[in-house]
Amino acid sequence: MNPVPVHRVPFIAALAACLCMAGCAGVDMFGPPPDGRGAVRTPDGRPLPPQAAMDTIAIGKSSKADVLSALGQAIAIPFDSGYEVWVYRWPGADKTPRTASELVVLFDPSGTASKLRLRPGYAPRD
Amino acid sequence: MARRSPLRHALQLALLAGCSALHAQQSPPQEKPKTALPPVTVSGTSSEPVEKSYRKMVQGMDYFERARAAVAPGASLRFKLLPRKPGTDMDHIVLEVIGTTFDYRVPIAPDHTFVLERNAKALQENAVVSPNRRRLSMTWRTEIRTPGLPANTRRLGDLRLECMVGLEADLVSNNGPIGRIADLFTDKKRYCERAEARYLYFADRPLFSVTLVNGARREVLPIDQLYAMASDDPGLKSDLPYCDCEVLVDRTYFLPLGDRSWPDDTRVEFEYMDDRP
Repeated sequence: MNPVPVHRVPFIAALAACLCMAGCAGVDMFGPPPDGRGAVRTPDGRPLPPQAAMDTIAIGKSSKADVLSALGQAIAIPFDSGYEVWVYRWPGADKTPRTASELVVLFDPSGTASKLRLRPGYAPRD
Repeated sequence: MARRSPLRHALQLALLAGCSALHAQQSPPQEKPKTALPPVTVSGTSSEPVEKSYRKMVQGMDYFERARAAVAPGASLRFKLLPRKPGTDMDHIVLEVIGTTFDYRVPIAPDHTFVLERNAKALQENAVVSPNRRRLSMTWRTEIRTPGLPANTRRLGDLRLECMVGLEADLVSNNGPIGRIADLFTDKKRYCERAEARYLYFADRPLFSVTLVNGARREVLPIDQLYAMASDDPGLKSDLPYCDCEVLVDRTYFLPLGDRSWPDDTRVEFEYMDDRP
């Protein structure tokens, strides 16, 4: 392997520090976005349990506007294909992704809900 | 609560999923005009090929032979080419093994996988495996599959071995500064044994859900294990050029590779976006 050029050393040192940080990034880094996206809120501001939230969405009928109105702002993940995934989360006891419940809605390119699933939170790892 | 910054996210993706953009950033000044060109795919021989070390890839094959009896006894190994940039023509790739005194062509299957034959001369001449595509236009992975599995499923042991062989074959480092730092700071194969390993896998089609199944135990992966962690990074769009998942985000997933409560025979079930309900 060729030696690393001197002019790259500061960059590499900084990168190494970042990588160490990245390697240490554990589950405690997880949490709902600070702006409140992904936390279900009804139009009058009430929280809803996962199943009740799921029941407000009709596959093949509900639009993004319908879901936004019923449940509030989701964590939205748009794709180049035109599909978009929306996620609502209910944190579990230890605030990790593993224990969180999730409602996941898939919108097709026309903006209509085409798939829906509820992921239960699982028990924390020992 | 502390949040994962887009930069750190990008670096994680870079190290663990084969980013090579930083390598381009660190290129000598005379190469800058080339990297500034629009990301188009060039047919024919490129002056900046996406090439891999033949020796390293054979090292990966050797690792596969040593490890498969324990992890994936019925599986076979292929390598796979995947698009990294929009518009990459994946159907007319010419892949060659090129030494100093010879070259020969490697056939590519319609699913963009190929087998690398062992060749003493290629080892001796430290040959490269070179597709006729511009740097950063494609990425590479291993494809280790046990035959006879139900449709839309994979076997966890096969995927664990994909991580180990992929890192051993240097398919995901691109030999840039990141790859060298990884050599210094991590044991690549041990990395694949971490419960929170961030080795990016690509499903066959855009994903809606991934579920681990072992006997009566079923667990759906949380959303942060899909889509290159997009759910936790609103700035993902700007990070994507650093990730070899750039045009495959909707097909990406991570697995709890080091969580030994899931045995190698665990089935990984995929539900795709275009599956009928």
